[in-house]
This record gives sequence, structure tokens and C-alpha cells, in this order.
Amino acid sequence: MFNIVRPDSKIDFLSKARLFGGISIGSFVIAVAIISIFGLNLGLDFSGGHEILLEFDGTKNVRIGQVRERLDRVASGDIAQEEGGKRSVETAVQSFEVPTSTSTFFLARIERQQTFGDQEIQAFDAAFRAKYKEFFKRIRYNPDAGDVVEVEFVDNATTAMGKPIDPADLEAIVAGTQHEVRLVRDIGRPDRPRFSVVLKGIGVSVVNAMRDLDPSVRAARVEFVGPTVGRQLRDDGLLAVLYALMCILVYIALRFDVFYSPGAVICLFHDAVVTVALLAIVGEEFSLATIAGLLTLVGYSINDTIVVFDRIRETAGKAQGAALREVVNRAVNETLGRTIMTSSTTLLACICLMALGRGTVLASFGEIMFVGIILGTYSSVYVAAPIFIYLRERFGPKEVARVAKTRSAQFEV
Amino acid sequence: MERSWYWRFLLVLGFVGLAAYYAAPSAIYFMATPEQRRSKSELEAMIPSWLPKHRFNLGIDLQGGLHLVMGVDADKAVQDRTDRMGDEILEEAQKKDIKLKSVRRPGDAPELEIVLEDAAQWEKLKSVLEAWKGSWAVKSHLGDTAVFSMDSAYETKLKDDAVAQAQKTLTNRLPVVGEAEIRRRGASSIMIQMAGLTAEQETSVKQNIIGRTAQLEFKVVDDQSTYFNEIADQPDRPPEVELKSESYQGPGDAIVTRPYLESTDRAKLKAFLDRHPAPLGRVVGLEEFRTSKNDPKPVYRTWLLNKKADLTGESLTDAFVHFDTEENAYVVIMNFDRKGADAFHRLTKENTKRKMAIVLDDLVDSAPIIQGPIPNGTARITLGGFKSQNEILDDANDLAIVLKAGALPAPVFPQEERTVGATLGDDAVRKGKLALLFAGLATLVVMIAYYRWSGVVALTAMSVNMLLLFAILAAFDATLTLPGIAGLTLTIGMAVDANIIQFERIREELRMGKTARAAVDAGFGKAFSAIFDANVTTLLASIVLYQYGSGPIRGFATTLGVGVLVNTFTAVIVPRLIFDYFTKARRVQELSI
Repeated sequence: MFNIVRPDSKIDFLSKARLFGGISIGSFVIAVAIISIFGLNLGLDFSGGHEILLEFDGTKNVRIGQVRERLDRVASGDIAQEEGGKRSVETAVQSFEVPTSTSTFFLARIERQQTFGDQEIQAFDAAFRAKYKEFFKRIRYNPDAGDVVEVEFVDNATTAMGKPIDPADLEAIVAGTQHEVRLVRDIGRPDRPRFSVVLKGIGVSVVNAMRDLDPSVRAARVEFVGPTVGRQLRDDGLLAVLYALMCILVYIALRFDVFYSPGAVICLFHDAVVTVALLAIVGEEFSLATIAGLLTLVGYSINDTIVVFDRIRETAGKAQGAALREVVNRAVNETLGRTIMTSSTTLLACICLMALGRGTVLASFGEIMFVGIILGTYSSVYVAAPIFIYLRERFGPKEVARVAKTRSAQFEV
Repeated sequence: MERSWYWRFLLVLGFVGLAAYYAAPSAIYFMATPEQRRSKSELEAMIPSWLPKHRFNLGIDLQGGLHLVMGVDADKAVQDRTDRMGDEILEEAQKKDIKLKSVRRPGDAPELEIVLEDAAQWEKLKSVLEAWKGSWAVKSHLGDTAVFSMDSAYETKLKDDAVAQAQKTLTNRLPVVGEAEIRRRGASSIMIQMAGLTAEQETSVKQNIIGRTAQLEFKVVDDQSTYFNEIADQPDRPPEVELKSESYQGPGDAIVTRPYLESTDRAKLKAFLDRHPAPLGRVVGLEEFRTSKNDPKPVYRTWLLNKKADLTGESLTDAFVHFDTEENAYVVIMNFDRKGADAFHRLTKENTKRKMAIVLDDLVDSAPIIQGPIPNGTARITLGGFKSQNEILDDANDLAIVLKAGALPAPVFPQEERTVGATLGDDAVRKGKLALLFAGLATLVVMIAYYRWSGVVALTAMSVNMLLLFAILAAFDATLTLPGIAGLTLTIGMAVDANIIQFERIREELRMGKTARAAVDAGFGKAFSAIFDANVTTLLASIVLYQYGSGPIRGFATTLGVGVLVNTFTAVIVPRLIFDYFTKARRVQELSI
């Protein structure tokens, strides 16, 4: 029987509890500071906007600068008219690797919240009014809807004007502003004319703008997330995680006792926050896949904490003071073999995901888990356990149990 | 050997057998090449017919396709209803000789401001407005001006209907390529997912559903023409297209026999009809007929209709389901505006005892028989068929939704749009398979190197675990996405961890000088509480995540939750079974652990 950890290992983990406790608190505070100062690099899922993966067939040498320049032109096209470019549009281009393909890929992103600005809508309004005078009623634009503008006319406008409204005219007015019109639809009743002007969407405009670089260009992937959806996804996710933590808190309080749960939950917070801060530092994009990774990390961390807590519960009895510390120390030592085995197999699996899943979300998932496993193992010992000891010494039963007598004086370090 | 061992063994064997049966179609699906996966017929040929029909699917992020979330502008439907209410009030007032200066909707709220020419006519107006009690109420009244506002419960119902109608309309409009999944998401959004589309198909899908509103038409059915009989004799009729007929009491109580074509293959039927143009002034309408709501395979039936719509949805002001206490049956009531009422009167008088097709976006929804002239603008449709009261109510609700979709169409707009090219999706699957394979292999090597034969036991348990998990997911027709794979990896991690906890415990017991058999008993016993608590905590968390999370978080929570459930079963039972066999039946003294 080969052992990684000597069966009689008696490492005094808790002797360093103060030091590591300080480090944990410090890193937590720094992590919160980093997140609040630098902010998160929110991916499309949360920020809303458009993301287009451009594919060039590789026969022509397309440079990233050329793509960026054209993208900026499309993105700011209609906004240039606004006063002093007050509303800036964030764009980003990065090259993207698809190993199985010989094509060149660029990931273009436009973080545009809505298709038209207020000024632009007013300009449309004025243009329609100039053309149709009193027969024009108003235009309706729902920023969430993105690519659709509705044009309404007054009741019986066609009879009053003596001629029908030509959709081509409507198209001309909207298309005058950099947008490509997909179609104009008649959605009214004969006595109440109304049209919806549907744009081709920014994706098509971006691809068209790239045509002069290389006619082979096409969109391999187009993603659009509306502003409210992004907010909803974020709020739903956060709320779900908060409720899940609350459930864990209650369950541990019932199965163990109330002194255990705060440690377990704070330890989860610690792991999640520090990992998020690390992601913020390396500029990793925060997407729904990242959330999935974080959830897995939290799941792993709670698993680890429960294994250690289970050992403590088994032997703690009513121990207090030094005896309690010894119980905890022994529990950590006894589970050490398991901890090392589990973390190493999982770390290996993560390395496989990182190495072989490159370019897919699996890799970023692996990275998060890699950090998470190390943090989760560390925090079970240095965050969850010390908090448990502290709470129990402060508020727990005061009798000193028998275990204290059998306390061994010597610890190996 | 104890008897309980055999029972446990049979239980596990039974589960494994059942799981293998359910997981097989999914396994074949996974092994298939991306091209085979995309072709429905090829897949059907690969999966033997005696296997279950359920299997899991790859999400859009894995196999490529279109993911659309359409928002429904339900406020618009409410405002339209309010505007029509204004028209109706004007009409009624005119009938009762009440002089109104104006009726208008001052803002976006569902409220009307009614101004009388003579404030003294208020009581008279009030009695007119009473007619809409329940859904509308007078909010305030001062002198010659009154504010008439929509009841909030009615408003909620209108909005809810608007979303249901939009869903119906979108379902009608999606072309029948690939597999489409349409679901309501949240209060006012509809999610559409379509896998494996070509670029042209994708463009046509978007063209079809964005910025359009529903077209509802009423068309009289031509039951005299022999057109269907004639073309059925043509040599190019595909064998899938059959000639059938239905009989009912027509004009003058004579029995009318109406021929029609029927086929399960819409594309072939459509192509055949395109080759044989309909008679002058007529058009062929298709009906998608299902024997029950959950019938997965509809048949398509043809109707010969007037080319020009006899009446359109614009004339319809409202439609709703009503329980008729006299007939003791559910009926659908339609209300037409004044112009519509006249047209409808003429139509029903000329075509008594004929069928009138209700056509939504070129698809025939149903075709009730006109029982007699309907003069007052209120028509009722009695639903029949050999169905239970509940099924009839369902049908009535569906019909009311179709009618409303034409009467009060709410605009839909894209909220979220994701397209993943097929090659990118294939690449993700290929990489994912490879990464997971190597992750599994690495675990295998480490476990066997450290725990020897017990490592093999752990991996057997893990395999049983995966098999059960896959079978359950397949039985529920789950969709596997990348976050789902994340949940799967956590499950595997926890399964292996459970075995590590057990083995370490057994080792501890062995070190204390216990015999193999006693060590196994004690080790499993002591390890149980940690495994149980860890799994229950995770299960609770995954239930909460499923309940409150959306989209990807749900995918993660599903695989994790099912995985953890299976875990508590396999991680405890399977290794114990194997250990018991060796320590009790084979009486092994020395454990390889």
C-alpha cells in the first residue's frame, strides 16, 4: 500500500491559522478592491451588443488593423452625427483560431446598446414629417427591438392624400443613414396605414464593409444580445446563486450545527470572489460559461469543506479551546490523503480541458476550475475551519471535554 | 454469501441493463459523424427501431444553428385594443344619440378620455359604458369629461394572450426544416432554437418572423370543384399523397362530399400542388391536422378556397371562449366591427351550410360550417368532434388565440440572436470529446496507480454512474450544452471523490489492524455521512439554480442535479457490492487498495 501522506502525519495546520487567516482576509479585500476598481470584462451575454465572427478564406492576407478600421466606421457611422460623438461605441477585434480550418478568423464586437440614437430618431421624425406633412403621425422605436422602426400615419391618410404610401419612400429615408434596409412591411389597416421598416442588422453591415478587403468574407457566427436580456441574465444568475448559498447555509446548520454553516458559506464567497478577481486581472471575459465554471468551483469547494467538517463532527464532541484545535488539526490530517488524491485527479482533468479544449469554453472552464480547486482546498482548512473554531469558542458550549486530556504535546511541522 | 448481496447485485444489473437500453440511441447519435447527425433520415436508419425513441440532443452551441429570443410588444396589443374600444364607443354612442366631442387615448396607458358635447348626457353614456363592465371601468368623471380605463386583470390577460398568439404565429411561420424548438421564456419572450440550418434557410427563417404581424383571413370553401379528383389521377402524384373525401350536410340539407388530398410529407404535397395550378379564382390552402395536441406527426390536408379573402382579421374586434349554459358546451365568440359585421352578414347569407375556412398566415386552422345568416356582427363557433370537454376547451382556446392573433397582432422583435456556424459547433464537439476522453484517461491512470485493483472498482462505479446519468438525460430528451458538460465534469469529480473517501477510510481501518472484511464494513459505514452530506448540499444547490436560473445555468443545474442523485446511488452501492464479493464470497484476506 503506497501512501502519499504518511498515515501518522501530524502537521499542525492551525498553528499558521492567524497568518493564513490574515492572508485570506487580505486577499478577499484586495479581490473586492480589484473587482470594484478595474471592473469585469463583461462578455456579450451581460453587456449586450453584437458579436460577429468574420471568416476570410485565407487567400488574401487580411490584417487585424484593416478589420478594426472598417468595424469602427460601421459602428460609428450613424453616431458621428450626434453632438461631439458624446455616445461612444465600444468596438473590439481579436483574431480567433479554429485549428481545423485554414481560414483566417476575426472576432468583431460592437457593444452597441441600441441601433438608433435619440438624435437619429428625431432626424427620422423630421424627415417623415417633411415628406408626409400632417398625414404622418409618429414613429415608434423600441430600443430593445433593435432593428425595427415603426412608422404610423394618421387615420385615413391614404384617402386624404389621394395616393397610397410607397414603401420605397420609407426605405429611402431610413437607408439614408448608413443602415441597410431588409424590407418594409405593411402592417396597418386600410384606414390606418402603418409600416415597419426592418433593417438588415449590424452583422450584415459589418460583413459588407469587409468585402473590399476580401470578397470571400462571411459571418461564421453572429450573436446579438439585447440590453434588457443582458441585465436579466445577470440578475437571474446572481439571484440563483444567492438563493443556492442560503440553502446550503440552512442545510449545514441542520445536519451539522449552526457553528459550521457561516464558515462554509464565507469560504465559498472567498473562493468565488478571489477567482473573479483573478479573472479580472488577466482580463478574461465574463460570460455565461464563466458563471458555469464558477458554479462548478463553488460545488467543488463545498464538497471539500463538507469532507473536512464531517471528520470534525465525528470527533469534536463538546471539545473547546486547545482540544477543539487539535480535533480540527487531526481531521485535516486524516483527510489529507483524500484531499491530495482528489485534487490531483481533478487538477489533471482540468489540465486536459485546458490543453485540448483550446479555443472553446471548455478551456476557460478548465482554467477557472484549476484556480478553484487550489483555492477550495486551501479555504476548507484556512477559512472554513478557523471561522468554525472562532464561532464555537465564542458562542459554543463552554464545558471542556475529555479529549483535552489525550492531547498530544508534540506536533511535527 | 448473504442473500441480500444477490438482491443488490440483481438490482444493479437491472438498472444497468435498463440504462444501456435507454442510453443506446444517444450513444449512436454521439458516434455519428456531424453530417449523419444533421440528416434525420440517416439517423433514423442508424438507430434500430426496437430502441427507445428518446435520446438527447446537442445544444446550439455544440452542433451549430440558430438561437433566437423574440420579445413580444404586448403593450402594443393593449394600446390597439384601447384604440378599438374608442371606435366601439363612438359607434354605440351614435346608435343611442349621444353626441361625443372626442374619444382619444391620451397616453400609452390603456385609458380613454371621452368628452361629451353636452354634459347632461352623462347618465346616458354611463349606461352605454356599463356594457363593458368587468373588463373596463369609469375611472373618473368631471363635467363633460370622463376617463374610461381598462381593468388590470383584463390587461394582464390581454398581454398574456398576446404572447400566446405571437408564439402561435411564429410556430406557423417557421419553415419545416431541421428541428425547431419554440418555448415561452419569461413573461414576454419566446425562444426559438433551430439546429443545423444552412445560411439560406437561416435568412429565410429571419425574413419570415421579424417585423411581420399575423394575417388572418376568412375564406369560403369550394366544395363543388372536382380539381382534387382530377389532379389525383395525374401520373406524377407521389405515393405519399392520397385522395380522400369528407361528407357533411350542405346547402338545402343535401349531403356534400368534399374531396381533398392528404399527406404526411408537406414538402412533397406542396411540390405536387405547385405543378398543378388551382382553377381560376381559387387557391389551395393547407391544414396541419393532428389527432391530438401531442401528436408529433401531423398530416396535411388540402382545401380549395376563394383566392380573395372574403373577410380579414382587421374587421375582427375580439374573440374569446365562452361556456354556453344552454348547450352545455364551450363556444368561441367572434365580434366584428360595423363594416365587418355587414360583410359577414352578406357572406353568411350567401353561403349558408357551406364551410368557411379560418386561415392564419396561409395555413388553414379550421373550417366551421356556416349554420345560417349572422346579422349582428357577433358569430359563435361551436366546437365538436368526439372529444372530452377538456379537449374541446383546449381546442376552443387555440381557436380563440388564432382569431385574436389576427385581430390584435402584437409586434415581435429580436431580443437575442445567436448563430453558430456548423463547423464551429463540430469543432467544439470534437474538442470536447477529446478533452473529456483524456480527462477520463488521466483519472484512470492515477486511480489505478494509487489504489491498484480498487482503482478499477472506482472506475467501474464511475462507468455505471455515467451510464445511468446518460440514460436518465436521454429519457427526458435533454439537450446537452457546454454548461451541461461543466455540470457533468463536476459530477464525475464528485463520484471519484466519493470512492477516494471510502478507500482512504478502508485504509485507515486496515492500519488499525482490522481484517479485510471488517475494514470494508467500517470504512464504507464511516465514509457514508460525508458522501451523503456533500451530495445533498449539491443537490439542493442545483435545484435552486434550476428554479431561479435561466438558460445556461439551467443546463448546468440539470446535469449536476441528476448526476448527484445517481451518484448517491452508485458511489455507495456499486463499490460495496464488488468489495463484498471479494471479502465475503472469495474470502480475500489481503485487499489491493
